[in-house]
Amino acid sequence: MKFDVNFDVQFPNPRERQRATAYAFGGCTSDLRKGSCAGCLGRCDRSFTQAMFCQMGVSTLISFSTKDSVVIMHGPVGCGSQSHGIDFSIKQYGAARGVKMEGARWLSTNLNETDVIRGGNEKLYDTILEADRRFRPTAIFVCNTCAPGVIGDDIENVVNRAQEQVTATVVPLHCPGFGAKVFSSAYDVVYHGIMHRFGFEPKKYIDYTPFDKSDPDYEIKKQRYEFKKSRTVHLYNAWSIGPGDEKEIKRLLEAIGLNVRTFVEYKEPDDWRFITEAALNVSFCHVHDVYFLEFLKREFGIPYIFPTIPIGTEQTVKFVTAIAEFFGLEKEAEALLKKETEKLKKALEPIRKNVEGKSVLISGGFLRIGATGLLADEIGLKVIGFRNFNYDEFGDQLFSEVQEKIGDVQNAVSTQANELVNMVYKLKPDIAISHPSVGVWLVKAGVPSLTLFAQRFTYFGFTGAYSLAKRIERTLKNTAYARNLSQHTKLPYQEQWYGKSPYHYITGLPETDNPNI
Amino acid sequence: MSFIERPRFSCMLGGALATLTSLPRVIPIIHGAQGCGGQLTNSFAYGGYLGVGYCGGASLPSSNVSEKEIIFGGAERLKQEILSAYEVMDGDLFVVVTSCMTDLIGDDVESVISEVERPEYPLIFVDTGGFKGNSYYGYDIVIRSLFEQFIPVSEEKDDRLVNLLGLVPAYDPFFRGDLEELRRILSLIGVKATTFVTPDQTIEDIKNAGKAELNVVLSPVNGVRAAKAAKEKHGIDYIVTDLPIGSNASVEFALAVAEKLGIDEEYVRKALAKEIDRYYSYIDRATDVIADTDFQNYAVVINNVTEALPYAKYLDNEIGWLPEYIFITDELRDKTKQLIRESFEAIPFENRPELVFETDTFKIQQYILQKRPQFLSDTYYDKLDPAFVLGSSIDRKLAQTLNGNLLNTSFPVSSRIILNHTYTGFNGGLALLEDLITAQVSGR
Repeated sequence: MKFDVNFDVQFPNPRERQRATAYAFGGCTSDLRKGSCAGCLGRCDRSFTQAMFCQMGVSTLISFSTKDSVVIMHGPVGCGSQSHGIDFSIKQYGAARGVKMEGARWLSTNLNETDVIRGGNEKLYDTILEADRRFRPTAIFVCNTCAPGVIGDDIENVVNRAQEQVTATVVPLHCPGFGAKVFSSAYDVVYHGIMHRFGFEPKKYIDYTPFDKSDPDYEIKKQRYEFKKSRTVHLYNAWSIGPGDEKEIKRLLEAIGLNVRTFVEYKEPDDWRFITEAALNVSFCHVHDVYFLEFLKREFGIPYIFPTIPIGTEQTVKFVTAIAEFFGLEKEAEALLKKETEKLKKALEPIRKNVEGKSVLISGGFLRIGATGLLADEIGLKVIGFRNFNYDEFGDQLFSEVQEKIGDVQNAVSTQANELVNMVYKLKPDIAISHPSVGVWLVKAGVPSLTLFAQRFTYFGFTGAYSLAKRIERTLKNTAYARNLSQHTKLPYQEQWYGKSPYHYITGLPETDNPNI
Repeated sequence: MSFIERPRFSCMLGGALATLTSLPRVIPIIHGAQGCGGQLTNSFAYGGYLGVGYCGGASLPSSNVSEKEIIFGGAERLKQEILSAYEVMDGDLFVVVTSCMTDLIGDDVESVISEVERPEYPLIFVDTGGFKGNSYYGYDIVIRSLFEQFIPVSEEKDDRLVNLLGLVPAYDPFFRGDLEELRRILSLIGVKATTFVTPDQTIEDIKNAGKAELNVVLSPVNGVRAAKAAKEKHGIDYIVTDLPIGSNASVEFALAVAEKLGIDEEYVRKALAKEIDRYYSYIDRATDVIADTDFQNYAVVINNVTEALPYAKYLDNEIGWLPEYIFITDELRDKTKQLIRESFEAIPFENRPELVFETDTFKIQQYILQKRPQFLSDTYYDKLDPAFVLGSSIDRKLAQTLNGNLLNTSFPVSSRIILNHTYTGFNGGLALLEDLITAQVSGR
């Protein structure tokens, strides 16, 4: 689909406006796709809502995983206080990528009542200066929260003023929680900040020494460089993509003769200057980075593709083939993929025997769950429902494949636990695969759940497919924990709630002929 | 108040949610932005992986106000949310809590509440706008609101019933085990205790809190407001005690409560004699390894105002270690600091540590290293060695710099999961010794 966006604004529109991303829907896959094409999903909302994440929380992810950065939470002391948990993971997953990360370094401007009345600008200014003095970071990300957003603090101005005093690059992120219902809008916000504050081309004599024209090897050196660049592909990672995933996809692409680099996480801003040293940019998941890749295309003429998310045999083949086609390496890819597919197929056979026919419900980001559904189907599981956090047209291609392979199953757009447990009550899955923060409600409801992304495992590519299949098999081998717990715990919902449709509180649902659950 | 590097607490709403999700069958309803509930749950999770509880995280009803409500007001949205919550959620008490932004836009929550009140759904309102205080204050104001708005006033008091207040769920990470242990100790002297936030409590227990003879506040700051409100409305007297760790402190604690309840001192001492014997027979058998390996350490205690002094006191008075520094990491008023200094002076330390009020993690480390450099060109210098840090997960760097051990005792706790583990009372004193030694032998 065409991605039309204006980068020349102070901050990007939330995705519900920018690309009609839906955050409320209930029905079948066919209804979801129909509604998405006709733009009907955008009209859906809720008359009962539950808590979730906001774009400010999600904005901290890329910010923290930028090497040697500091993040400033500009708001009351609670905003961003979940960041204690990130410390461990960025160190661990940085190390797994061979990158030594400092851990999560962050400060809260700790706005109190007086600051809210007087404005928090001076406090923010002081905090930026102290962050620079204390840590000498590469970048300082300033996350603007609801309170300064409501009182109208001009953080852009503070940041620009502070920038003159500090060595780190200060990046304002306009991400107040109330500003977006679709919390993945955060990725646009962070990339917007990054694209306006950093350079993406190597600097002469800092990053490289130009070839000397009088050098007798000048031509060959130049050609060598240009050849290498013409065979270089850049992959864009994200929080949910683990070191194993990067390694697996790199392995496949390098095997067909490509030079592969990953951006932007676990790199320092100086490394970002090599972002333009590529022939092609590839997105694993447009939810994260299409905004940035479109910018790089317009600004530097680097083409990009987002073939699909490489989960399961078929999508991995598609992913690698699309890249190979761009470089004219179809033959090499075909040979490799054939062999890999065969090997994987053989490896999955014994697993299939153990999991065949078990029903699964999948919940999380829409590309990842769609592709995970196809993988589950591939190993013989019966996919009985999807629950997307958000949904927009970017998912239509994948979900048309899903519908074709799996059938027209339940497909909701929801982060609400009440809708989830209601769905579980009716669909009665044997197992679930779910995004963090969701699993607890499934397990309490008696459904063993494994995490949709767990960076310590591989999820992408052929080895990822095997790893996930093994995890599913392992989870199903002993489900005593969920069973015991569900017999002794009570969910906070009334019995009568389960008698209603899980989509009872979704307003503006388009009409459908499909039976509801 | 200044900026804080990696604050060891969240906002008032965060503390309120940690408390409400620990109270029995309570349904919080947040009037705020969509991220508040989810992310503050993820934040209090770092009290030793304290989960969502009965109705936290993605189950929290939340009005999820957006730009529209900021412009036009969020009262209607809140009203709709509460009425829907009545239909869906199953609880014994509904509690509306606000966030800083709904306070800012000035929604009249009181009038919404009066419109939606239904006799079959008990509903109270707690104003928890984020920038008014931190999570400790959030706990206090929730418990205070229970006394003011929910717990029935009872003329009849049970002279053997007390309420235990002051331990804040998640931000006092061992709150469940600690409260259970203190209740056990009180039961030895014939006193029952309402603990509010332990898993065994029911809404009836909470309602019964009005019948208590005494509120026992285990913190010099947190819970005091609630106790004052209870005194005013319910005529319940209160005492402020230290969190007792170890045998001596536990006896002192029991005696203090007993005195207030008019229980005879002799009776208490007799009732606890067996417990003391049991305690020391455990210590007795731990002595071989302790004596053979020289496990006495210099210690740095980094904790909140409730727990810092009790830990230092235990280390010094009970097991003969050398606490050198006590860092209290809360934001406190000067008056409160003075109060804490006085109780610090009153503790009979064998080796008096230095008491420092410091919220900022970086400055804590800086403070020690400037006073006690770990590397000098000189061969002989006063180094903190062997060192043991009793602090939070974010003090790991300090422990590494001191080449010492770390026991994760204060928020954030991410290196261990805490269920009913306790570092309070007799059992807690033993558990703490166990963990302090284990840290030094775990590599064996």
